[in-house]
Amino acid sequence: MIWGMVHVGPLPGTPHYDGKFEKSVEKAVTEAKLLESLGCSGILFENMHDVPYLKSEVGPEITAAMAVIGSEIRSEIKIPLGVQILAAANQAALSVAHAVGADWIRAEGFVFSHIADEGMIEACAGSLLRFRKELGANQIKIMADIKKKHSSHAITSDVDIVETAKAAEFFGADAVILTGASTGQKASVEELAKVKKAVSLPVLIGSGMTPQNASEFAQADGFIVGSFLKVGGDWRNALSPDAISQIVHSIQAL
Amino acid sequence: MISKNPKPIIGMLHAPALPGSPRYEGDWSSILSFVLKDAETLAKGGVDALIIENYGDLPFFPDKVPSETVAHMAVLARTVKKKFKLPLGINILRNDGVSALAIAKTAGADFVRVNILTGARLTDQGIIQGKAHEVMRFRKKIDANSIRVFADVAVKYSSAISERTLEAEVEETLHRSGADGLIVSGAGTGKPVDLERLKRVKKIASEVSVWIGSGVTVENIDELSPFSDGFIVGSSLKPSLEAPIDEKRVKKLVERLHRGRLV
Repeated sequence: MIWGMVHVGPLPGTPHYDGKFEKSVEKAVTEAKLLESLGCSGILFENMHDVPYLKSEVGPEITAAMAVIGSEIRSEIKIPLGVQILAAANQAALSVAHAVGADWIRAEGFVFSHIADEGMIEACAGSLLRFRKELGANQIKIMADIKKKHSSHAITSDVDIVETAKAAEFFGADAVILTGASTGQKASVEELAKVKKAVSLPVLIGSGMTPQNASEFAQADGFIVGSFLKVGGDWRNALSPDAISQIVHSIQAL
Repeated sequence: MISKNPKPIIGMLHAPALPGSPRYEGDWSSILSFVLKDAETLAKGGVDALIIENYGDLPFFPDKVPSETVAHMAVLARTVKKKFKLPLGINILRNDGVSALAIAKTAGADFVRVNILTGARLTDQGIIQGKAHEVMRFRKKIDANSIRVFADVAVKYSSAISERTLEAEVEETLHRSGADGLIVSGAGTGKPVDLERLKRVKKIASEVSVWIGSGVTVENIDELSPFSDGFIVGSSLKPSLEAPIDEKRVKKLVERLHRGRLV
Protein backbone atom coordinates (compact mmCIF):
# COMPACT_ATOMS: atom_id res chain seq x y z
CA MET A 1 0.00 0.00 0.00
CA ILE A 2 1.46 3.34 -1.04
CA TRP A 3 -0.22 6.33 0.58
CA GLY A 4 0.42 9.57 -1.31
CA MET A 5 0.18 12.71 0.82
CA VAL A 6 -1.84 15.76 -0.12
CA HIS A 7 -0.69 18.71 1.98
CA VAL A 8 -3.68 21.09 1.90
CA GLY A 9 -4.00 24.61 3.03
CA PRO A 10 -3.10 27.07 4.45
CA LEU A 11 -6.73 27.09 5.63
CA PRO A 12 -8.83 30.16 6.59
CA GLY A 13 -7.94 31.60 9.97
CA THR A 14 -4.39 30.21 10.03
CA PRO A 15 -1.28 32.44 9.95
CA HIS A 16 -0.28 31.67 6.35
CA TYR A 17 -3.77 31.79 4.84
CA ASP A 18 -3.63 33.69 1.55
CA GLY A 19 -7.32 34.43 0.99
CA LYS A 20 -7.70 31.75 -1.66
CA PHE A 21 -9.58 28.85 -0.13
CA GLU A 22 -11.17 27.69 -3.39
CA LYS A 23 -7.73 27.54 -5.00
CA SER A 24 -6.58 25.25 -2.19
CA VAL A 25 -9.58 22.98 -2.77
CA GLU A 26 -8.84 22.79 -6.47
CA LYS A 27 -5.14 22.13 -5.88
CA ALA A 28 -5.83 19.34 -3.39
CA VAL A 29 -8.18 17.61 -5.84
CA THR A 30 -5.71 17.96 -8.73
CA GLU A 31 -2.90 16.54 -6.61
CA ALA A 32 -4.99 13.61 -5.40
CA LYS A 33 -5.96 12.74 -8.99
CA LEU A 34 -2.36 12.94 -10.15
CA LEU A 35 -1.15 10.70 -7.31
CA GLU A 36 -3.87 8.16 -8.11
CA SER A 37 -3.07 8.20 -11.82
CA LEU A 38 0.64 7.63 -11.15
CA GLY A 39 0.08 4.54 -9.04
CA CYS A 40 -0.48 5.53 -5.41
CA SER A 41 -2.91 3.10 -3.80
CA GLY A 42 -4.29 5.52 -1.20
CA ILE A 43 -4.51 9.27 -0.58
CA LEU A 44 -3.88 10.81 2.83
CA PHE A 45 -4.71 14.51 3.13
CA GLU A 46 -3.60 16.75 5.98
CA ASN A 47 -3.56 20.44 6.92
CA MET A 48 0.23 20.62 6.82
CA HIS A 49 0.38 24.32 5.90
CA ASP A 50 -1.52 25.40 9.02
CA VAL A 51 1.72 25.88 10.99
CA PRO A 52 2.08 26.50 13.86
CA TYR A 53 -0.46 23.81 14.78
CA LEU A 54 -3.07 23.92 17.48
CA LYS A 55 -2.89 21.11 19.98
CA SER A 56 -5.60 18.41 19.91
CA GLU A 57 -8.52 20.74 19.15
CA VAL A 58 -9.06 22.83 16.06
CA GLY A 59 -11.76 25.43 15.36
CA PRO A 60 -14.85 24.74 13.23
CA GLU A 61 -13.20 26.52 10.29
CA ILE A 62 -10.58 23.74 10.06
CA THR A 63 -13.09 20.93 10.50
CA ALA A 64 -15.40 22.46 7.88
CA ALA A 65 -12.54 23.18 5.46
CA MET A 66 -11.13 19.66 5.74
CA ALA A 67 -14.64 18.20 5.28
CA VAL A 68 -15.19 20.25 2.13
CA ILE A 69 -11.77 19.35 0.70
CA GLY A 70 -12.20 15.69 1.62
CA SER A 71 -15.61 15.54 0.02
CA GLU A 72 -14.27 17.05 -3.21
CA ILE A 73 -11.32 14.61 -3.26
CA ARG A 74 -13.60 11.65 -2.47
CA SER A 75 -15.81 12.39 -5.46
CA GLU A 76 -12.80 12.41 -7.83
CA ILE A 77 -10.77 9.36 -6.78
CA LYS A 78 -11.56 5.67 -6.35
CA ILE A 79 -8.69 4.54 -4.08
CA PRO A 80 -8.89 4.56 -0.25
CA LEU A 81 -8.84 7.97 1.42
CA GLY A 82 -7.34 8.92 4.77
CA VAL A 83 -7.34 12.15 6.77
CA GLN A 84 -5.09 13.65 9.40
CA ILE A 85 -5.79 16.91 11.21
CA LEU A 86 -2.75 18.44 12.86
CA ALA A 87 -1.91 18.38 15.61
CA ALA A 88 -3.50 15.32 17.15
CA ALA A 89 -7.01 16.64 16.39
CA ASN A 90 -8.09 13.05 16.05
CA GLN A 91 -11.78 13.41 16.88
CA ALA A 92 -12.17 16.16 14.30
CA ALA A 93 -10.38 13.89 11.81
CA LEU A 94 -12.84 11.08 12.54
CA SER A 95 -15.78 13.45 12.09
CA VAL A 96 -14.38 14.56 8.74
CA ALA A 97 -13.60 10.99 7.68
CA HIS A 98 -17.15 9.89 8.38
CA ALA A 99 -18.72 12.89 6.69
CA VAL A 100 -16.70 12.50 3.48
CA GLY A 101 -16.71 8.70 3.32
CA ALA A 102 -12.98 8.29 4.01
CA ASP A 103 -11.52 4.97 5.10
CA TRP A 104 -8.72 5.84 7.52
CA ILE A 105 -7.48 8.49 9.90
CA ARG A 106 -3.88 8.94 10.92
CA ALA A 107 -3.76 9.57 14.67
CA GLU A 108 -0.93 11.10 16.65
CA GLY A 109 -0.74 10.39 20.38
CA PHE A 110 -2.84 7.22 20.32
CA VAL A 111 -1.05 5.56 23.24
CA PHE A 112 1.36 6.90 25.89
CA SER A 113 2.40 10.54 25.86
CA HIS A 114 5.13 12.61 24.28
CA ILE A 115 6.29 16.19 24.05
CA ALA A 116 5.62 17.43 20.54
CA ASP A 117 6.51 20.85 19.16
CA GLU A 118 2.92 21.80 20.05
CA GLY A 119 3.44 20.78 23.68
CA MET A 120 2.43 17.71 25.64
CA ILE A 121 0.34 15.24 23.64
CA GLU A 122 -1.48 12.59 25.65
CA ALA A 123 -2.93 9.23 24.72
CA CYS A 124 -6.38 9.44 23.15
CA ALA A 125 -7.33 5.83 22.36
CA GLY A 126 -9.97 5.57 25.09
CA SER A 127 -11.96 8.64 24.13
CA LEU A 128 -11.28 8.28 20.41
CA LEU A 129 -12.67 4.75 20.09
CA ARG A 130 -15.70 5.63 22.19
CA PHE A 131 -16.30 8.62 19.94
CA ARG A 132 -15.94 6.42 16.85
CA LYS A 133 -18.56 4.04 18.20
CA GLU A 134 -20.96 6.91 19.05
CA LEU A 135 -20.67 8.22 15.52
CA GLY A 136 -21.43 4.80 14.08
CA ALA A 137 -18.06 5.00 12.36
CA ASN A 138 -16.40 1.74 13.39
CA GLN A 139 -15.62 0.98 9.75
CA ILE A 140 -13.10 3.86 9.74
CA LYS A 141 -9.66 2.53 10.57
CA ILE A 142 -6.96 4.17 12.63
CA MET A 143 -3.29 4.21 11.70
CA ALA A 144 -1.44 5.24 14.84
CA ASP A 145 1.92 6.94 14.98
CA ILE A 146 4.15 5.48 17.66
CA LYS A 147 7.19 7.37 18.99
CA LYS A 148 6.31 9.95 16.38
CA LYS A 149 8.60 12.36 14.54
CA HIS A 150 8.93 16.00 15.68
CA SER A 151 8.69 14.88 19.28
CA SER A 152 10.64 14.17 22.43
CA HIS A 153 10.05 10.74 23.93
CA ALA A 154 12.24 11.16 27.03
CA ILE A 155 9.23 10.71 29.32
CA THR A 156 8.71 7.22 27.91
CA SER A 157 12.40 6.34 27.61
CA ASP A 158 11.79 3.18 29.66
CA VAL A 159 9.17 2.01 27.14
CA ASP A 160 10.70 0.91 23.87
CA ILE A 161 9.16 0.97 20.41
CA VAL A 162 8.11 -2.67 20.65
CA GLU A 163 6.19 -2.11 23.89
CA THR A 164 4.61 0.98 22.38
CA ALA A 165 3.52 -0.96 19.29
CA LYS A 166 2.05 -3.72 21.48
CA ALA A 167 0.14 -1.12 23.51
CA ALA A 168 -1.27 0.40 20.31
CA GLU A 169 -2.39 -3.05 19.17
CA PHE A 170 -3.94 -3.80 22.57
CA PHE A 171 -5.78 -0.45 22.51
CA GLY A 172 -7.31 -1.15 19.11
CA ALA A 173 -5.19 0.56 16.46
CA ASP A 174 -5.63 -0.90 12.96
CA ALA A 175 -2.03 -0.18 11.90
CA VAL A 176 1.06 1.41 13.43
CA ILE A 177 3.36 3.94 11.79
CA LEU A 178 7.12 4.23 12.24
CA THR A 179 8.82 7.52 11.39
CA GLY A 180 12.25 9.14 11.45
CA ALA A 181 13.10 12.19 13.52
CA SER A 182 11.19 14.63 11.31
CA THR A 183 9.38 15.07 7.98
CA GLY A 184 11.54 13.60 5.24
CA GLN A 185 13.79 11.66 7.68
CA LYS A 186 13.82 7.89 7.30
CA ALA A 187 12.66 5.41 9.93
CA SER A 188 14.93 2.84 11.56
CA VAL A 189 15.27 -0.49 9.74
CA GLU A 190 16.07 -2.25 13.03
CA GLU A 191 12.93 -0.89 14.68
CA LEU A 192 10.86 -2.08 11.74
CA ALA A 193 12.20 -5.62 12.12
CA LYS A 194 11.51 -5.66 15.86
CA VAL A 195 8.00 -4.22 15.58
CA LYS A 196 7.06 -6.55 12.74
CA LYS A 197 8.02 -9.48 14.92
CA ALA A 198 6.09 -8.19 17.95
CA VAL A 199 2.67 -7.27 16.56
CA SER A 200 0.29 -8.70 14.00
CA LEU A 201 -0.91 -5.28 12.84
CA PRO A 202 0.20 -3.81 9.53
CA VAL A 203 3.33 -1.70 10.07
CA LEU A 204 3.65 1.42 7.91
CA ILE A 205 6.66 3.59 7.24
CA GLY A 206 5.61 7.19 7.73
CA SER A 207 8.54 9.30 6.61
CA GLY A 208 11.73 9.50 4.62
CA MET A 209 11.01 6.97 1.86
CA THR A 210 13.19 7.34 -1.26
CA PRO A 211 13.85 5.06 -4.24
CA GLN A 212 17.36 4.52 -2.81
CA ASN A 213 16.30 3.31 0.62
CA ALA A 214 13.05 1.53 -0.36
CA SER A 215 14.67 -1.91 -0.45
CA GLU A 216 15.68 -1.61 3.21
CA PHE A 217 12.00 -1.43 4.18
CA ALA A 218 10.73 -4.40 2.18
CA GLN A 219 9.25 -5.90 5.35
CA ALA A 220 6.85 -3.00 5.86
CA ASP A 221 3.15 -3.40 4.96
CA GLY A 222 2.66 0.10 3.68
CA PHE A 223 4.35 3.41 2.99
CA ILE A 224 3.26 6.99 3.46
CA VAL A 225 5.14 9.20 1.05
CA GLY A 226 5.06 12.98 1.09
CA SER A 227 8.25 15.00 0.78
CA PHE A 228 9.81 12.81 -1.90
CA LEU A 229 6.82 13.39 -4.21
CA LYS A 230 7.59 17.06 -4.37
CA VAL A 231 10.01 19.06 -6.46
CA GLY A 232 13.37 19.04 -4.69
CA GLY A 233 12.05 16.66 -2.01
CA ASP A 234 10.55 19.60 -0.06
CA TRP A 235 6.94 19.17 1.11
CA ARG A 236 6.21 22.85 0.47
CA ASN A 237 6.80 22.49 -3.26
CA ALA A 238 4.60 21.30 -6.12
CA LEU A 239 4.26 17.60 -6.96
CA SER A 240 6.88 16.20 -9.31
CA PRO A 241 5.39 13.54 -11.63
CA ASP A 242 8.88 12.08 -12.19
CA ALA A 243 9.52 11.69 -8.48
CA ILE A 244 6.08 10.15 -7.94
CA SER A 245 6.71 7.54 -10.66
CA GLN A 246 10.17 6.79 -9.31
CA ILE A 247 9.10 6.17 -5.74
CA VAL A 248 5.98 4.25 -6.76
CA HIS A 249 8.02 1.94 -9.01
CA SER A 250 10.72 1.33 -6.45
CA ILE A 251 8.13 0.42 -3.79
CA GLN A 252 6.14 -1.74 -6.20
CA ALA A 253 9.35 -3.61 -7.03
CA LEU A 254 9.75 -4.77 -3.41
CA MET B 1 -29.55 41.54 -1.27
CA ILE B 2 -28.80 37.85 -1.59
CA SER B 3 -30.67 37.14 -4.81
CA LYS B 4 -31.74 38.96 -7.97
CA ASN B 5 -35.29 38.79 -6.72
CA PRO B 6 -36.00 41.76 -4.43
CA LYS B 7 -38.22 39.63 -2.18
CA PRO B 8 -36.69 36.17 -2.22
CA ILE B 9 -38.41 33.02 -1.12
CA ILE B 10 -35.77 31.11 0.85
CA GLY B 11 -36.56 27.40 0.97
CA MET B 12 -35.67 25.63 4.21
CA LEU B 13 -33.71 22.38 4.15
CA HIS B 14 -34.30 20.63 7.47
CA ALA B 15 -31.42 18.14 7.78
CA PRO B 16 -32.56 14.90 9.46
CA ALA B 17 -30.74 13.86 12.68
CA LEU B 18 -26.99 13.84 11.99
CA PRO B 19 -24.35 11.36 13.24
CA GLY B 20 -23.68 11.78 16.95
CA SER B 21 -27.15 13.19 17.73
CA PRO B 22 -29.74 11.16 19.68
CA ARG B 23 -32.18 10.53 16.82
CA TYR B 24 -29.58 9.59 14.21
CA GLU B 25 -30.71 6.40 12.51
CA GLY B 26 -27.33 5.14 11.29
CA ASP B 27 -27.47 5.88 7.58
CA TRP B 28 -25.55 9.03 6.71
CA SER B 29 -25.80 8.59 2.96
CA SER B 30 -29.60 8.52 3.14
CA ILE B 31 -29.48 11.90 4.92
CA LEU B 32 -27.42 13.33 2.10
CA SER B 33 -29.91 11.97 -0.45
CA PHE B 34 -32.89 13.30 1.53
CA VAL B 35 -31.44 16.81 1.68
CA LEU B 36 -30.47 16.78 -2.00
CA LYS B 37 -33.96 15.64 -2.97
CA ASP B 38 -35.54 18.47 -0.94
CA ALA B 39 -33.13 20.95 -2.50
CA GLU B 40 -34.05 19.70 -5.96
CA THR B 41 -37.77 20.02 -5.19
CA LEU B 42 -37.30 23.57 -3.93
CA ALA B 43 -35.16 24.54 -6.91
CA LYS B 44 -37.65 23.05 -9.38
CA GLY B 45 -40.49 24.76 -7.55
CA GLY B 46 -38.80 28.10 -8.19
CA VAL B 47 -37.48 29.32 -4.83
CA ASP B 48 -34.85 32.09 -5.00
CA ALA B 49 -32.49 30.77 -2.32
CA LEU B 50 -31.98 27.92 0.13
CA ILE B 51 -31.09 27.69 3.80
CA ILE B 52 -29.99 24.54 5.59
CA GLU B 53 -30.21 23.83 9.29
CA ASN B 54 -29.46 20.86 11.57
CA TYR B 55 -33.09 20.63 12.56
CA GLY B 56 -33.01 16.91 13.35
CA ASP B 57 -30.33 17.26 16.04
CA LEU B 58 -32.81 17.70 18.89
CA PRO B 59 -32.23 18.44 21.70
CA PHE B 60 -29.94 21.24 20.52
CA PHE B 61 -26.71 22.41 22.10
CA PRO B 62 -27.26 25.98 23.34
CA ASP B 63 -23.99 27.21 21.84
CA LYS B 64 -20.98 25.40 20.35
CA VAL B 65 -21.73 22.21 18.42
CA PRO B 66 -19.21 19.34 18.23
CA SER B 67 -16.92 18.56 15.29
CA GLU B 68 -19.19 15.86 13.84
CA THR B 69 -22.01 18.37 13.36
CA VAL B 70 -19.65 20.82 11.66
CA ALA B 71 -18.16 18.18 9.33
CA HIS B 72 -21.49 16.68 8.25
CA MET B 73 -23.19 20.06 7.77
CA ALA B 74 -20.18 21.24 5.75
CA VAL B 75 -20.51 18.29 3.39
CA LEU B 76 -24.28 18.79 3.06
CA ALA B 77 -23.89 22.50 2.38
CA ARG B 78 -21.07 22.08 -0.12
CA THR B 79 -22.93 19.36 -2.01
CA VAL B 80 -26.13 21.45 -2.19
CA LYS B 81 -24.27 24.58 -3.26
CA LYS B 82 -22.31 22.74 -5.94
CA LYS B 83 -25.37 21.10 -7.41
CA PHE B 84 -27.92 23.91 -7.34
CA LYS B 85 -25.90 27.16 -7.45
CA LEU B 86 -28.67 29.02 -5.56
CA PRO B 87 -27.78 31.51 -2.82
CA LEU B 88 -27.38 29.40 0.32
CA GLY B 89 -27.67 30.13 4.02
CA ILE B 90 -26.51 28.15 7.05
CA ASN B 91 -28.13 27.96 10.47
CA ILE B 92 -26.45 25.87 13.18
CA LEU B 93 -28.97 25.37 15.95
CA ARG B 94 -29.35 26.49 18.48
CA ASN B 95 -26.99 29.41 18.37
CA ASP B 96 -23.59 28.52 16.91
CA GLY B 97 -22.99 31.46 14.59
CA VAL B 98 -19.25 30.77 14.56
CA SER B 99 -19.64 27.22 13.20
CA ALA B 100 -22.29 28.47 10.77
CA LEU B 101 -19.79 31.01 9.39
CA ALA B 102 -17.03 28.37 9.20
CA ILE B 103 -19.34 26.13 7.16
CA ALA B 104 -20.61 29.00 5.00
CA LYS B 105 -17.07 30.13 4.20
CA THR B 106 -15.80 26.70 3.18
CA ALA B 107 -18.96 25.46 1.47
CA GLY B 108 -19.22 28.66 -0.58
CA ALA B 109 -22.51 29.72 1.02
CA ASP B 110 -23.80 33.29 1.12
CA PHE B 111 -25.35 34.02 4.50
CA VAL B 112 -25.89 32.67 8.00
CA ARG B 113 -28.82 32.93 10.37
CA VAL B 114 -28.07 33.56 14.03
CA ASN B 115 -30.96 33.10 16.43
CA ILE B 116 -29.59 35.21 19.29
CA LEU B 117 -26.85 37.56 18.16
CA THR B 118 -27.03 40.01 21.03
CA GLY B 119 -28.58 40.29 24.48
CA ALA B 120 -29.72 37.20 26.36
CA ARG B 121 -32.89 35.15 26.15
CA LEU B 122 -34.49 32.33 28.05
CA THR B 123 -34.86 29.47 25.58
CA ASP B 124 -35.71 25.78 25.62
CA GLN B 125 -31.91 25.23 25.86
CA GLY B 126 -31.59 27.47 28.91
CA ILE B 127 -30.25 31.02 29.00
CA ILE B 128 -28.49 31.83 25.75
CA GLN B 129 -26.28 34.86 25.52
CA GLY B 130 -25.62 36.63 22.27
CA LYS B 131 -22.05 36.33 21.01
CA ALA B 132 -21.93 39.11 18.42
CA HIS B 133 -18.42 39.95 19.65
CA GLU B 134 -17.17 36.47 18.76
CA VAL B 135 -19.23 35.99 15.61
CA MET B 136 -18.09 39.24 14.03
CA ARG B 137 -14.43 38.83 14.98
CA PHE B 138 -14.48 35.26 13.70
CA ARG B 139 -16.02 36.39 10.41
CA LYS B 140 -13.14 38.77 9.91
CA LYS B 141 -10.52 36.22 11.05
CA ILE B 142 -11.59 33.63 8.48
CA ASP B 143 -11.83 36.17 5.67
CA ALA B 144 -15.61 35.83 5.43
CA ASN B 145 -16.79 39.44 5.56
CA SER B 146 -18.78 38.92 2.36
CA ILE B 147 -21.01 36.40 4.14
CA ARG B 148 -24.12 38.18 5.40
CA VAL B 149 -25.29 37.70 8.97
CA PHE B 150 -29.07 37.64 9.42
CA ALA B 151 -30.13 37.84 13.04
CA ASP B 152 -33.47 37.03 14.59
CA VAL B 153 -35.22 39.71 16.61
CA ALA B 154 -36.78 38.08 19.69
CA VAL B 155 -36.51 34.61 18.17
CA LYS B 156 -39.13 31.86 18.36
CA TYR B 157 -38.94 29.32 21.23
CA SER B 158 -37.60 31.94 23.62
CA SER B 159 -38.67 34.74 25.89
CA ALA B 160 -37.05 37.93 27.06
CA ILE B 161 -35.37 37.81 30.45
CA SER B 162 -36.34 41.40 30.99
CA GLU B 163 -38.67 43.15 28.62
CA ARG B 164 -37.11 45.84 26.42
CA THR B 165 -38.44 47.91 23.62
CA LEU B 166 -38.40 46.53 20.12
CA GLU B 167 -36.67 49.74 19.05
CA ALA B 168 -33.75 49.08 21.40
CA GLU B 169 -33.42 45.46 20.31
CA VAL B 170 -33.41 46.30 16.62
CA GLU B 171 -30.99 49.16 17.12
CA GLU B 172 -28.53 46.97 19.07
CA THR B 173 -28.78 44.00 16.72
CA LEU B 174 -28.03 46.19 13.73
CA HIS B 175 -25.76 48.96 14.90
CA ARG B 176 -23.94 47.63 17.92
CA SER B 177 -23.76 43.99 16.79
CA GLY B 178 -23.34 44.41 13.06
CA ALA B 179 -26.16 42.27 11.68
CA ASP B 180 -26.69 42.74 7.94
CA GLY B 181 -30.36 41.87 8.06
CA LEU B 182 -33.12 40.87 10.45
CA ILE B 183 -35.50 37.96 10.79
CA VAL B 184 -38.89 38.15 12.48
CA SER B 185 -40.64 34.93 13.45
CA GLY B 186 -43.71 33.74 15.32
CA ALA B 187 -43.74 31.74 18.55
CA GLY B 188 -42.48 28.50 16.98
CA THR B 189 -41.77 26.56 13.80
CA GLY B 190 -44.66 27.08 11.42
CA LYS B 191 -46.26 29.73 13.65
CA PRO B 192 -47.27 32.99 11.92
CA VAL B 193 -45.59 36.28 12.75
CA ASP B 194 -47.43 39.04 14.50
CA LEU B 195 -48.20 41.49 11.71
CA GLU B 196 -48.03 44.55 13.95
CA ARG B 197 -44.60 43.52 15.26
CA LEU B 198 -43.36 42.90 11.73
CA LYS B 199 -44.54 46.36 10.65
CA ARG B 200 -42.75 47.99 13.57
CA VAL B 201 -39.48 46.17 12.88
CA LYS B 202 -39.64 47.08 9.21
CA LYS B 203 -40.29 50.71 10.13
CA ILE B 204 -37.37 50.91 12.58
CA ALA B 205 -35.01 48.96 10.34
CA SER B 206 -36.00 50.45 7.02
CA GLU B 207 -32.41 50.42 5.68
CA VAL B 208 -31.87 46.65 5.87
CA SER B 209 -33.65 43.50 4.69
CA VAL B 210 -36.24 42.16 7.08
CA TRP B 211 -37.15 38.53 6.44
CA ILE B 212 -39.97 36.49 7.90
CA GLY B 213 -38.66 33.37 9.62
CA SER B 214 -41.74 31.30 10.30
CA GLY B 215 -45.38 30.70 9.42
CA VAL B 216 -45.41 31.97 5.82
CA THR B 217 -48.20 30.27 3.84
CA VAL B 218 -50.01 30.67 0.53
CA GLU B 219 -52.86 32.18 2.52
CA ASN B 220 -50.91 34.92 4.32
CA ILE B 221 -48.03 35.80 1.97
CA ASP B 222 -50.05 38.58 0.27
CA GLU B 223 -50.77 40.23 3.58
CA LEU B 224 -47.13 39.93 4.78
CA SER B 225 -45.39 40.82 1.56
CA PRO B 226 -45.62 44.64 1.77
CA PHE B 227 -43.76 44.62 5.10
CA SER B 228 -41.08 42.07 4.34
CA ASP B 229 -38.04 41.65 2.11
CA GLY B 230 -37.86 37.87 2.09
CA PHE B 231 -39.53 34.71 3.30
CA ILE B 232 -37.85 31.70 4.90
CA VAL B 233 -40.31 28.90 4.24
CA GLY B 234 -40.15 25.35 5.52
CA SER B 235 -43.04 23.67 7.32
CA SER B 236 -45.82 24.98 5.06
CA LEU B 237 -44.13 23.29 2.08
CA LYS B 238 -44.59 19.79 3.45
CA PRO B 239 -47.39 17.72 4.95
CA SER B 240 -45.43 17.11 8.19
CA LEU B 241 -42.07 18.32 9.56
CA GLU B 242 -40.28 15.03 8.83
CA ALA B 243 -41.81 14.57 5.37
CA PRO B 244 -40.04 15.52 2.14
CA ILE B 245 -40.93 18.87 0.59
CA ASP B 246 -43.91 18.82 -1.76
CA GLU B 247 -43.19 20.45 -5.11
CA LYS B 248 -46.83 21.44 -5.68
CA ARG B 249 -46.84 23.42 -2.46
CA VAL B 250 -43.63 25.20 -3.45
CA LYS B 251 -45.01 26.13 -6.87
CA LYS B 252 -48.26 27.40 -5.36
CA LEU B 253 -46.40 29.66 -2.95
CA VAL B 254 -43.99 30.97 -5.58
CA GLU B 255 -46.86 31.67 -8.02
CA ARG B 256 -48.88 33.36 -5.30
CA LEU B 257 -46.02 35.72 -4.51
CA HIS B 258 -45.27 36.43 -8.17
CA ARG B 259 -48.91 37.18 -8.87
CA GLY B 260 -48.84 39.61 -5.97
CA ARG B 261 -45.89 41.38 -7.55
CA LEU B 262 -47.65 41.87 -10.87
CA VAL B 263 -50.70 43.50 -9.31
